[in-house]
Formats: sequence, C-alpha cells, structure tokens
Amino acid sequence: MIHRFALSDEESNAEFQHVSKDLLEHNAAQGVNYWAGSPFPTMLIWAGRVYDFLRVMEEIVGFYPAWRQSYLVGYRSGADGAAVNETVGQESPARSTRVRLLSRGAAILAGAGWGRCTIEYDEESNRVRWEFPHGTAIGLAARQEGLRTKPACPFIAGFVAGWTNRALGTELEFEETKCVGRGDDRCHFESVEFLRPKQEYIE
Amino acid sequence: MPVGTLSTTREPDALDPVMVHPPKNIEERLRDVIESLRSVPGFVSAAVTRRDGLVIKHSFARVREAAGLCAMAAAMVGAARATGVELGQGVPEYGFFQFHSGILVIQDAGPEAILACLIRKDTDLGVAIPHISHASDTIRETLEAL
Repeated sequence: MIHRFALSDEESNAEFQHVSKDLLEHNAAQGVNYWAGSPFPTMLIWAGRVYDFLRVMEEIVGFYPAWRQSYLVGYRSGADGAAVNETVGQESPARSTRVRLLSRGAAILAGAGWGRCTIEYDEESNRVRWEFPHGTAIGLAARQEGLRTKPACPFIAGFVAGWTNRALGTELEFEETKCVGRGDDRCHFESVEFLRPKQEYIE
Repeated sequence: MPVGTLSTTREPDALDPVMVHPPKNIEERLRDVIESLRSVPGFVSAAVTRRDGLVIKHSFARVREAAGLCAMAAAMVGAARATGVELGQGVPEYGFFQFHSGILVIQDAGPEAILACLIRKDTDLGVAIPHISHASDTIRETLEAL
C-alpha cells in the first residue's frame, strides 16, 4: 500500500495559523517566544542563516563532513518534532498511528514556513519520499546566493529522516536528489538504507 | 519546528552517532580488513569511516570512541583536501598526528571512505604506512565492488 500526503493552500494556511501563531507564546518579560509548551526558547531566523551553517563549514572541511553536521542537527529537530506531535495529537486516536504521525510532518513543515511538501510512503518497499514542489525555504535561500553544484538542504534531509524514523520506527537515511539551490525545479528527498557518498560531491 | 526543540522523554539521544547501521554485507567485508591491520607493527585500533564521518567498522572498545575519531578524521581529510587543492598540491595521500602517547594515521580509502589507524608512538611509520595503504586500497576495492 502506498500512502500519499499533501496539503492544499487552505490547509497550508490553517497549519500556519496553528503552528506559527496558536502554538507560539510570547514571554513579554523575557522578550522570548516559546512553542507548544516547550521550555526551550523559540525564535524566528532567516532560512539563509541555516544555509550558512552548511556553507561556512563546507568551505573548511568539505561537503560531506559539513553535510553530516547539518544533517545531525536537522535529525534531532525532526525526531523531537515528531515526538512532540505524538503528544499534541493525543486527542485524536487516529493520530496515534505511525503513518498518521508521518503525515503530520508535512503539516508542521508548511505551518512553520519550512516548505510545503508531499510525503509518499510505500509500505511494501519501506521507501519514503518527501518532495517540496517549490523547494524548501533553505533551498530557496541558497538559490538567492547563486546556484551551487551540491544540494543545499542537509538540514532538511536530517529533519525528514528524524521525523520519518521517529514516526515509523525505521532506521533510514535520506538523500536530497533534487535541490532548487542547484537549479532543480524542486527539492526531493529519497530514503535510502545507507547513503553512498558521490565522487562528484567530493571534488 | 524550531531547531533543537524539546527535551522530551525520548529514546536514545537523537544525536547518537549510530543513527543508522551499515548494511551487514559491508560490515562483514570490512571486518577482514580491520583484522588484517592487527599485523601492522604497533597497531592499537582502527576505524573505517564514511566520507561524512559515520562509523562503518571499527576495532575500538566502545563505539563512542570510534565515533569521535571518525567525525574528526572526516573533517581533517576534508580540510586537508581543501588546503591541498587551494595550494595547487593536489589531494592528500595520507596524514598523521603524533600525540603524547600514540600516532594517528589517516588515509583516504576511495571516494566513499576513510581509514583511521591508531598506532603506538614508538612505531616505525616507514614500516606501518605501507600496511595501512594496502588496507585502504582493499577498503576502496571492497566498497567499489558492493
């Protein structure tokens, strides 16, 4: 069975209202925001600054080591995000299912302004695809700085890996096979059991 | 979803370096290579890391030791590579650090992997490095064949 999750414009707007407005609280004394009851401060940050983490590091240590550090941070964000959404969705029994939790990833990403995506999950092959038809916010930010030859969104690749693995109980890695930051028309993340580095990304 | 969000009662640390395990066939094929390194004079331990720093196979007592080494080895090779290209010297063949108590030799093992080998400080590098180079060639061939 193949599951496919996508959002309409209206749903994306509704998720923006829910995720970026309703769940965000402002502590006026601190001038700090908090999200969904988390004790951790939350703030707006330009997507380009997240891209900078990759860009600055890869100038020093090369693409793959920089890719991994960015991926790891994204992974934690995705895994934690999925864990929180298990709690947030407790009022709805349907949301307790793994597949339902996976589908929430699309809603959260659109609602948080990270990009609207379609998630496809093939139960038989255990393959998962996350596709952002207009690119991720980070990929779009990277494109603003000029086209690159390598994918710009390892942070999002890590996020979707963390979210997917937390939701489905899998141990998958994600490879960005298309990226608007390098001139593709979309950002596309494909699950793999074990990522094999590419020669052209090392040169 | 904000970066680094919540501290929940989650399972193992999501930053645990072992987020994914290499396929069994890769691990098994590389076990022999790691074992062969035991014949290197002064051998202490070795790790094969993926180009990004993920541990593929190691002989350290704890995976955390190997994980730290692999992350650093990947970063060092990446930095050395960038430096070599910047200086017009080509890509690095191998590198080593002499510590107070030992020597760490790091060598490219093809496009996918890096070999990091810890040997005793009193080891003759002229003897050890050809052994390590041979092992890294075997790793490259093994991964290319898979």
